Amino acid sequence: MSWLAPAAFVWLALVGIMVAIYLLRPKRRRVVVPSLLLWIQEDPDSTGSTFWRWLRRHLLLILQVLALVALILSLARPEWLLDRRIRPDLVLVLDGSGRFGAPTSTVAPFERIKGAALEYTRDAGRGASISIVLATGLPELVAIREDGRTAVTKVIDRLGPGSGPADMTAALDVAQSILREGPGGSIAIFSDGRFEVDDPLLLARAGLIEIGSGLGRLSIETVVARPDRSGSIQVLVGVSSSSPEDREVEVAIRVGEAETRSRTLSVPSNARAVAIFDDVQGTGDIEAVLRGPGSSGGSTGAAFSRLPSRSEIRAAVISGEPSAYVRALDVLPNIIVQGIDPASYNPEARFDLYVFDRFVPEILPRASMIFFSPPAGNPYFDVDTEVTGSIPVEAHDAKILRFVDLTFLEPGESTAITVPDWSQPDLTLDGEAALFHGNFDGRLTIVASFDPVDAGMVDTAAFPIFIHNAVEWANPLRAVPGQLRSFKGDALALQPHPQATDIEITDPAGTKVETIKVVDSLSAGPFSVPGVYSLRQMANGRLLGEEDFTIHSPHSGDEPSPSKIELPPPPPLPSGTGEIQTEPAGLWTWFVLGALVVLGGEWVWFHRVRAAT
Amino acid sequence: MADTERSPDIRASFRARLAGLDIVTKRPHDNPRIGARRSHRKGASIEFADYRRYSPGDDYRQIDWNIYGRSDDLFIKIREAEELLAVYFLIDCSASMDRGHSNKLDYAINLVSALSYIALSSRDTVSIACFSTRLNDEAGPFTGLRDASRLLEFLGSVRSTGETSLVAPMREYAARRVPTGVVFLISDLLSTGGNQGLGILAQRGHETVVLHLLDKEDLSHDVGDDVELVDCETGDRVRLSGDESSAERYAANLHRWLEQTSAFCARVGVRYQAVETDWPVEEVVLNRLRMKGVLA
Repeated sequence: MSWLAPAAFVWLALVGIMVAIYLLRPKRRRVVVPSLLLWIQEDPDSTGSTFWRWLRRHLLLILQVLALVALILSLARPEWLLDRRIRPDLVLVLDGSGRFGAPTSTVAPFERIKGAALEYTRDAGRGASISIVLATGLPELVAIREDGRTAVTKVIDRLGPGSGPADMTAALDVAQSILREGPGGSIAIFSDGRFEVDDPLLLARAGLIEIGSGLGRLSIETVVARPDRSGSIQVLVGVSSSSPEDREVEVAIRVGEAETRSRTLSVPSNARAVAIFDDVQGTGDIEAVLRGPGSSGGSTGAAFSRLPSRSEIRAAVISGEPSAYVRALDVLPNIIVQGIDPASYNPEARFDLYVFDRFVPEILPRASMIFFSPPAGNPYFDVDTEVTGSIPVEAHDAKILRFVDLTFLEPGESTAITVPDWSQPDLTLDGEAALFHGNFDGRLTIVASFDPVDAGMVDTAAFPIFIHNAVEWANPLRAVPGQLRSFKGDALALQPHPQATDIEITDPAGTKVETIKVVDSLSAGPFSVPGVYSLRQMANGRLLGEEDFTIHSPHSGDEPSPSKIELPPPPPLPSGTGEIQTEPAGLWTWFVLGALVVLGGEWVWFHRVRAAT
Repeated sequence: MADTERSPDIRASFRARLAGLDIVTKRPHDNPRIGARRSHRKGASIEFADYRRYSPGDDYRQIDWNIYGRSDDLFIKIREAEELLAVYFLIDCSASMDRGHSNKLDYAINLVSALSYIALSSRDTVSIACFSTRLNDEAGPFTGLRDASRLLEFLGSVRSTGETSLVAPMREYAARRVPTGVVFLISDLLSTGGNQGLGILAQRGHETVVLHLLDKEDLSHDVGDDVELVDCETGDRVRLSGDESSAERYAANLHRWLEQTSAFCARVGVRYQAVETDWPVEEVVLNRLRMKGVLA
């Protein structure tokens, strides 16, 4: 035994002081009695040997000295060198990505991960101290150096997957920190290998136990349902593959409670393929899953769709010459167009979309707006009519200009507008905007500085395409942005109709789950059940529009599909039950404990035993 | 230990009342000497006791011919025997006796003086022995009142010494070839050896009377708080944290000890009388011992 702080032995002088105080204490008054017979009848010790009488007489002092010595010894930090058998570390990293928690599978993929982990601990993990890291969005160390297999089994049994992609970099960082502090060992990653690790050093001494349904690199990308010409439903299921090989997969769909239909689809390597189901019967939501060929199990998570139930957009063209705009709008589905002279403009009219041609009203309507060639001096846009050097124009990557041929723009024929704060430019002329869009005080607004009639645009195919794109973006009846895919557990940011006062949301079972009062920008959810939801926008009880949106269950297609990490199985653990290491063991806590026990014994002696004699 | 000479005395009025008392015996004793005391045995004294039918072998000189003349049946007269009673006093002279609010040894000597006077008045023989761990001084036998002055002189010379032991002195006394009689053992019984010695004299055939002296000092727990108790005989020490519970325990110990001693005496055929030294000797002799049947 060694002492880390031998200077503390100086305090042993206190023992001498304690003994001196004891000896100098006031003596008890002596009383001579005829006999001690009646005083010590229950105390046979008093008639014992001289030593025991002395011990009893000075027991309190002895106990106090013992306690003091124990405390002083603990201050001296005693240390004992012990031989300890060190077990190698085995860190299990279980990929808890949301894609492993697909609820429609016969056996959830994460259960296969847990089963593989349990099997691995029984075989390769014998003689190891097992730590477990659950890799989710925020990795969690759920077990640290467990030696008992029962405890490991219990921990693994109660694990569940997360709701999103796993941060494997952070999970492996935790695992490596355990290996660094211990005597070595290995890391076993239980995953389908579809994860990314920022630092290759994190994969040192790590190996992959690959888990998968055989579909790990295939995912459903889109599910689209549309009525065909015969009036039945046509369903298109887009499947993407990140596999380096051509794969065959079974695509199954089910509409409502109808019988499941499936077909086998060949998916080329690193490409997409579409499975088309014609003449689909049934009503209700459409659910699509992928399965291994000829297998009922091992499916990916489901994707959902529903036949579009669009409401009609009521549009007004405020122009002296509205015909070109009315024609372009009229060919679009689900829209009713009306041309109105600027003199008859009424901001209180109930239109969902206004097209203003060379006219900017003083009072803006509560609707989406598309402005063409706003005149200079209007109260809302700073128009510059002296644009020079406007060619070439710069088009940004905007959906509004998707498939729009801009060659109609002739030099010197355009004006430009200073880009307001609330917008983003789509087309730039000489540092200013020829086209921009944004949310202007709750209104989806597109502003074009040019006149499509004067520019000759109305005579090109670009004009109806542009109008289609503009209406598609500015449609106020669609509160859920269409470009985002939402998953179980997500909340949705909504873009309500400017006239909307309430928003009602109905879940896939048809139950109204949420009614939201429209104040400004708002959100809905989070949603816990995957499927197709209905959303109704209301204006003081009047239905403005109804739309559907889909909450997807997490599956392989919902997450980025990084290329698979190629890792060998984990390296074997050192044979035997571990190496023996000599390490110091601090004993000061035991000395403190001993002192407390002695003081407790003294208390008992003083208050119980001695008082009883 | 008291160094002063003791001077036991009996007041004249008390003496007059003592003269009418006798020490009661419950059974005959084997004293071969004939005395003035009626015996439980039938003997040849002139005192008539009873009649019984004649049986062959009886002394025909004892036939009452007058009854024969009246009843034509033979009866013989039964006469009482007369015997000399030996009375022994064993006085505990240990150090614990020579202390107390009322000195227990002085009290014991006064008690012995009174009882001896009764015995001498009845022409019984009186022997006195003092003991502590063994038998110390002895005197007697004294017979008749003419020996009273010598007896009192001996009692005046008694000194205390040593520890109390009941076993060894009783065995030593029982081993003596003396006539059986009545033994008065006067002691505080504060012996660590227990009460085993009390039954030894009874087994030898003596009628034993234990007069257990209890001083106020023995009966109370008046020592104060946090003291060191010293045994006056052995010098042993015990530290005591005085509190209510220790007083209760002392009272319980005392009560249990008295009960055990009394029960033990009853079991071995010894008459037991606790005597508090606060009580006047006259009251003990004239009332309590008469009520107990020791005197009559």
